[in-house]
Amino acid sequence: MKTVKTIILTSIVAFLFSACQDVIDIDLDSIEPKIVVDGALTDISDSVQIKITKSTDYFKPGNYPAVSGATVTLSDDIGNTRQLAEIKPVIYAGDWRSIEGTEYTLEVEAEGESYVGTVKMPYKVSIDSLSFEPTPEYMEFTGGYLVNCHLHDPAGVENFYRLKVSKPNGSTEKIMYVFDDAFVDGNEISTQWDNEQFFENDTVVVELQTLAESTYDYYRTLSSLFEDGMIGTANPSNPVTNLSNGALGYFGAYTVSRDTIVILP
Amino acid sequence: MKPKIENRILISLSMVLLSFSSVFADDKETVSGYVISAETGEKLIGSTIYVEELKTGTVTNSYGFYSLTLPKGNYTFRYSYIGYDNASVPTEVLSSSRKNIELQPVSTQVEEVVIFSEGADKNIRKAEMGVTKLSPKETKVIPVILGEQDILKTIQLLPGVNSGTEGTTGFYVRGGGVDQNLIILDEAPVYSASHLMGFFSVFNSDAIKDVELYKGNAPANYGGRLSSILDIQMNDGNSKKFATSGGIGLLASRLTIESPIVKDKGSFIISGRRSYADLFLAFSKDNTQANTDLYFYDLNAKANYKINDNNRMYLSGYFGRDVFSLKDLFSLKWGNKTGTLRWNHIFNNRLFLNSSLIYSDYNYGFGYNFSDNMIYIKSGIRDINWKEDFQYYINADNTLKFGFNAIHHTYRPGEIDAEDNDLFNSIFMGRKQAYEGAAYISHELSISDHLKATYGLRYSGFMPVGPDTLYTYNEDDEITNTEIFSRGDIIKKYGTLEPRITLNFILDPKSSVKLSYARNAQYIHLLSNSSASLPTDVWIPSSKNVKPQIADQLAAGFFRNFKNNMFETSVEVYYKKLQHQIDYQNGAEILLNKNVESQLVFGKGRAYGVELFVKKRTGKLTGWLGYTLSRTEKSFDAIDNGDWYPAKQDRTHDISIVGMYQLNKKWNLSANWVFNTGNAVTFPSGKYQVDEFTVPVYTKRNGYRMPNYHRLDIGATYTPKKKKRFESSWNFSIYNVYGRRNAFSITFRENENNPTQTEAVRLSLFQMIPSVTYNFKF
Repeated sequence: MKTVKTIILTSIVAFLFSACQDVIDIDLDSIEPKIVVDGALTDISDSVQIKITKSTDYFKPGNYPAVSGATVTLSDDIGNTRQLAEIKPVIYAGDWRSIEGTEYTLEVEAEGESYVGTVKMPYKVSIDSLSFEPTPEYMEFTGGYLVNCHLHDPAGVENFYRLKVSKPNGSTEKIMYVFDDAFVDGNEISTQWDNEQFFENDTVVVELQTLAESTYDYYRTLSSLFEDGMIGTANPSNPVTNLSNGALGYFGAYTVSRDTIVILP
Repeated sequence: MKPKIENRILISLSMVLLSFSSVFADDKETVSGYVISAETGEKLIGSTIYVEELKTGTVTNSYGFYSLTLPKGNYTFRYSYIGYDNASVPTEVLSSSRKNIELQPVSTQVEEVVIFSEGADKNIRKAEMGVTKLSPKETKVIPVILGEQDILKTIQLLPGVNSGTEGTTGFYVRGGGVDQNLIILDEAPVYSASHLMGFFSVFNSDAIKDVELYKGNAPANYGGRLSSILDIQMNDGNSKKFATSGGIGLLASRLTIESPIVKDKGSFIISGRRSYADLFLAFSKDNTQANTDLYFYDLNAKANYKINDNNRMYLSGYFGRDVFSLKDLFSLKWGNKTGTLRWNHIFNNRLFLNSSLIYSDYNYGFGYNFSDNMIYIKSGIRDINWKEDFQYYINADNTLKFGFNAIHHTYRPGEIDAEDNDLFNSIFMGRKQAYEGAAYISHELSISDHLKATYGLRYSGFMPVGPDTLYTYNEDDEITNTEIFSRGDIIKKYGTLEPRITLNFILDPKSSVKLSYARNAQYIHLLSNSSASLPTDVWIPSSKNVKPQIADQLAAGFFRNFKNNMFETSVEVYYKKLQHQIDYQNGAEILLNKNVESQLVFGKGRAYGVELFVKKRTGKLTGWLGYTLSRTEKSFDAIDNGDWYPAKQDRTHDISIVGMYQLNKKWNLSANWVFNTGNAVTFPSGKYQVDEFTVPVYTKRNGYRMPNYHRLDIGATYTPKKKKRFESSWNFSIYNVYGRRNAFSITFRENENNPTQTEAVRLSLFQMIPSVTYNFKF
């Protein structure tokens, strides 16, 4: 679901006025590269992968520098500890099972600095069912079908979700769609994936992630950097991270529920 | 302890005032009355009355009333108002008497273009600073976008006033925020002064008589906002004859009807306006556009009735609404309603009282369809205000203004009405209530021919009351304490003593030096997190966690007129200190968040600058040049470790040039050029990758600048010869003539073809927009 603000702002500008967009040159300052930690635990995997890289100047093309030789340690609140191995540049990995309700700590030691993040694996909420409906005529694309995901939100607890939808060829759109249950606590929730439409005989895979609160905060503030589209946020700021010592990125945790629907009207 | 100090100040002030009472007891008499337009019966605000023999005078107040107390004798009173012929009236002052004067409009077109309706040397003589007076008539020929006349757009062309984002009506006065301007329409506050997401103001220039802007140095009778007061008076309606006027433009059309109720005793005016951009959208081939509704309308109405010479009643109202909806998916409606009932009472020739009962309501409703489940989100603010304002004309050298007001505020921070759908729960955030009050006394005095002063004191107070639930938060925004207040419980009391003073040293009849100091307190705050002004921005009251904002402003200026007041020039410098400023912490959520106060951070601000102004008032060519050199900075402990950073609206240079040329009786040409340093903005300096996303890295708040902004607009007005009673005019204009691609926004993204490459994208609006408007009157 696109945020309402995006719809309003972009439509106003586009409808009324002869807006035009072009790519321009801007001078941006150079910054000291910072450590970036990108990794999340899930309940469906027997292993874990943490990517450790460095940030670059904004306009620098190419890949991000890898951080090698770091000591990456994962532990939980019931006494398990494991050191992850650098299996190839950027990626530190190891066997690990994550359980709902358990708290996990990631500690990264690199270049003489230490970075720590803690996250609690949330309790799982599963997809009840999937459905589809013809794309309404007011959308910017028509003629196909939109997919809805139905779930039952547990009452009395705060829940945070992310929806991911894969195209028939297995690829996913670069879209961060997260929501919480603030106004829908305890209800049957139906949510529509309206970023793209599907056609007859398409097989669509929907993934519902139940997020840890800190993971949701990171995703939400990350997506808000893109949501205002052409207008731009008034005061953009770095996404809210759960990592210490100025590290960028996040250490996340989420559960995964998947379901498949074939569009057969 | 505090109240004691305040008592002492009040006592000493009354002592000072008492010392003037000696001036009453002599054989002086008072002449008072109204100055009125002979054509329409409108009371003329700010017209000058000059006593030639005594070389002294006065101006009419905002109801067109004046009072002059003079030694007995024979005098010649000269009444003048811009756009009207002067009237010299021999007056015998033997006993106190009433003298109402009707002025005839100037018949020649040329004179009408003279800008700013003031006594020719009022800028030199009056002890007031940072004040500008405009009337829609005077600004009619200034070119504007899409030909829709807009008083707020004209104000942005003045020094010390910056425009918001391109095309919008939001404005910043001397570095203050948009919410630090108090906009009052017939004394009723207008909380959201914009239509169409800020591209047009709610003020229909057909219904407006007079506009006055105070840039932070307002006398004590005004208060409530830190940066400025914009006082807008609506037309009273023609009390001489029935009249119709209107206009047809590309964007909107207007129609005004005015008529006497009883000739010369009472009149009314009704003025309406509606836009029709949506009618064009219906023809669009694009699905989304064809299903969009997008329009606004507004209605101004006012009636006044003279009960007798000493009593007059006014009833005025404004109603405006914006509608923006996309069929079946969502709808957004917002608007203001205001109403003012006023009673002017003249106790005697020297004492004038205006009593007002004021209502103001701003609300928005937002409907959204989530898979056939409709929800409505509502929010708003409502005020009821009672106000008493006395004006006591002691003599030609002493005028006293005093009064009080009491406001009851109701805030609706947000509620969700889920009707009976299954998906959403209805949420009611509760209504917050507060009382705001103020009492003031202000003395305008002429100490000698060379020294004049206006000084005064305002005491304002604010008191949020229950029912409410108040939370205290720790550093991690967790609730540490909950207090529940029931109906009528006082949650917190705030009071601020606001001294105001302006001194005017008149060096000679052509030049003066002025000094001024003012303190202002503001108890309500606007939360907005978008660079465009959205109707969904939320007003919140001061509470235990949110302290009132306070500003102290110091200003000095040199004023000089040339060539018999044909040229008016001034240099003003100001320094403003701001306390308890409000911003968000990173990643804040404001909509429907009952813990919204935990998302706020508090800091301080400072603004200083110099404003140059040259104005040519008379002749075939009129206009002005304004230049502002300024700096506006903020400091918040929670942002960049408390370092000072430039506010978004900080603009080092700001230039406006406005020219109007009366070619002949039929053609009037105009042009304006503006230039300003780009806004301070936050751009990324670095980037990194998480998941498949390229994430920008921000280092410093507002550490970068938008490109410089400049633009030229031209316009021409053609006025054919008047036929019997029928007058008409055509207005042609081109906005942004040389097609400068000013950046409305600059955003950053991955290159579509090569995701490892990032680029900056400029969005520009409004290149060469021509427009035509037809106006008529009969």
